[in-house]
Amino acid sequence: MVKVGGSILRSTEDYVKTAAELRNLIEEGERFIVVVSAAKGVTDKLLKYLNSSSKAIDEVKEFYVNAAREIGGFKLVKRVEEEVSRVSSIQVKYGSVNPAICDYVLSIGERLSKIILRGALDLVGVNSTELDARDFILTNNVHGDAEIDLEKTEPRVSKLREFISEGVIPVLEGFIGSSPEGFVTTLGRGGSDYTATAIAKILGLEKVYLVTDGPGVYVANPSIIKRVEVIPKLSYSEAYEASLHGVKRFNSKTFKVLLGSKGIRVYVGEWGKFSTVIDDNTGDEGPKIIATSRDESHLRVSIIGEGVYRAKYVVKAVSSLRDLGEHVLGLNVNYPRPSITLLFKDEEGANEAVLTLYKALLKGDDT
Amino acid sequence: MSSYGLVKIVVIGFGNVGRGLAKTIALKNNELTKKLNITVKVVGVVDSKGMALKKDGFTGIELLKLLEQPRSSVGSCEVYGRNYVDIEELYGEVQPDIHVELTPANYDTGEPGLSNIRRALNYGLNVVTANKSPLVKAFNELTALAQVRNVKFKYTGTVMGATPFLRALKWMKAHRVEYLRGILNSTSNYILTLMHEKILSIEDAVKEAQLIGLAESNPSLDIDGLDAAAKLVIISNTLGHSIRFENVERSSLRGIDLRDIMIAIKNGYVYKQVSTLDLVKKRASVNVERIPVNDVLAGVKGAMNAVHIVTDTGEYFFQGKGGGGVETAHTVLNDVLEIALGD
Repeated sequence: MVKVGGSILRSTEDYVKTAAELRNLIEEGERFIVVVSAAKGVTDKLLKYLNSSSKAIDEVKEFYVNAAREIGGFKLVKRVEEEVSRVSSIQVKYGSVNPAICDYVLSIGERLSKIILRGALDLVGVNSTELDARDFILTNNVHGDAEIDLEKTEPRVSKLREFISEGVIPVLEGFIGSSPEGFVTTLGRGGSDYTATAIAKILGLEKVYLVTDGPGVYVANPSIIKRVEVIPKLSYSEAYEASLHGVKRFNSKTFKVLLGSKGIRVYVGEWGKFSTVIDDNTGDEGPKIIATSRDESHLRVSIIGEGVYRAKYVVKAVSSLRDLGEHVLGLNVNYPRPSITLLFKDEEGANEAVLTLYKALLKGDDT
Repeated sequence: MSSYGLVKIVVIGFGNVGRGLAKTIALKNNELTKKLNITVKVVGVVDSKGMALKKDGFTGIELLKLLEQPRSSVGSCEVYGRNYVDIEELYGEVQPDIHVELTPANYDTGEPGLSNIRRALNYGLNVVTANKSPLVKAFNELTALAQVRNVKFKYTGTVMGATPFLRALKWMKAHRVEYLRGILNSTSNYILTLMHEKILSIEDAVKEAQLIGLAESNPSLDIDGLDAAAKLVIISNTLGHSIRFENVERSSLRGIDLRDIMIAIKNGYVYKQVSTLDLVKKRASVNVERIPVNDVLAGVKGAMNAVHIVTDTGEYFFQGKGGGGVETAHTVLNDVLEIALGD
């Protein structure tokens, strides 16, 4: 399973580069399914469109039409225009419409991206076929944050094997599915990763590549700690916990669906450098990631790793922060989940805490 | 059939249902072959501007690639495409067993479906269709022609698209159907559901139905009752009672505003587009009616369809999805499979 993230799809050239990378994988003997996200920034533009900005849909159209023209010519352009025309003919207002319609509009980004990637795969000589995720991924009817119904999806997704055995690469869009009523549903932000891991779980695939614009999952926020390392290994439960704390903006269902699974290795990184591996092996206990997130009233700094709720780690974390006491609002030990969370009242304190905890817990610097 | 277990079809019309059929065959053929020992081969696909032919049938992958063609561009597909339509040429080259007619409905002329079906039956081909208008224009002529030519003519997908209601109705040969009342148009039912549940004006509800792919850019066929009236004509003719489309009494959703909806809700009623066929009084109508919330049809919401029939031996209620490209395509494919199985 290869999931192509929107962060690496910023231009027409990126689609061609991606197609070439996929061809390289085939030449290395790999056979796989491709799940693709919308190009960078497209989902935000579609949200703007739903907020009554007709300019936003024009920008989406312009991006994909240009890509279609350069990659596939007239036919591809016509297909893109057909898809966009379905949503651009009617101005809608977010909040006043059926959530099913919002999902329909948001789904366009992934669908267009899939059309362009298929065109690029043709261009580089990869035998692939375009599939509609709505025919394969069945969800509940929670529009905007749907959950995949694995049991109902299984018989449909099983057909993907037939394509692979015929030497054809199936390409389908992530992030979307179909409700029991037959309407488009979306899986929430980062939902394409969830599509990829859910299919991998159903088919029992050994490897899932989440291709993104960085080498892997950083151990702390790189905007706070310069030259921060990538964590080489996480368990499913650690990755799930990290996603709950906003790490890499993962959709938490991506890893929730893997909890209890065996033998699926998720590689996170960029082409040629997948530095983080997530699997069923819980590995060593102790802090792995310092995550930062924010809710309505607090800034949260969370320490994530198997067993971090144990007293020795809690004491170490708290004692390292003794000089930041005035900034700390409280501490949650999230037992039995693999995390502890400190609540801060200001960003300055939270950032300082990240730096201190990074040194104390991840670098072993007690000074 | 060409040989045991193999059925060759041509698909005339490559819109939502035609594409849904190609997709369904591409994804389910292996399963059907295992289950029924029948392989459906699509040997030709025709749209308004061109056609694609392959004598030994398109593979599943090739069918999926045909779906990647823009609308009305099937003729420009590589290797198999031709940028013109010549159905006689198509028949001559690919020798199909079944002509599947999925062109859009035209209630003024019945065309192009009417001529296409006539040609296919005269050519000695079995015909399956989901296009209502040829049946509305010439039900008796077409069914008689099929009999004379000793071929099958099936049209289950024309009424309640995704639900095999007509199949059941035809099967009830010993029953005498006296009265029928139902919701036969998904789009108008969806629009009315939005008006009641989200308190939307008809204009906004139509827009939503259009966005979701249920309503056409011109929703008149649905909201003015033409589509449901056509279905009543087909049902009545299927039961052996010939009625004319022009004689079906109709009223439009356009007359309903939010004030009407609010008053109805307050008093325990809802508005529904109700299709009625009274075979005793020989009357047919499609009217927007105010019905009590405990009426069985009041609970039929969204894109669902339902029919309540009264017979000389009892009453029956059928409910299911009304349309949708892939869903209706399944009904069409079931008709194809029935022919292949010799039913």
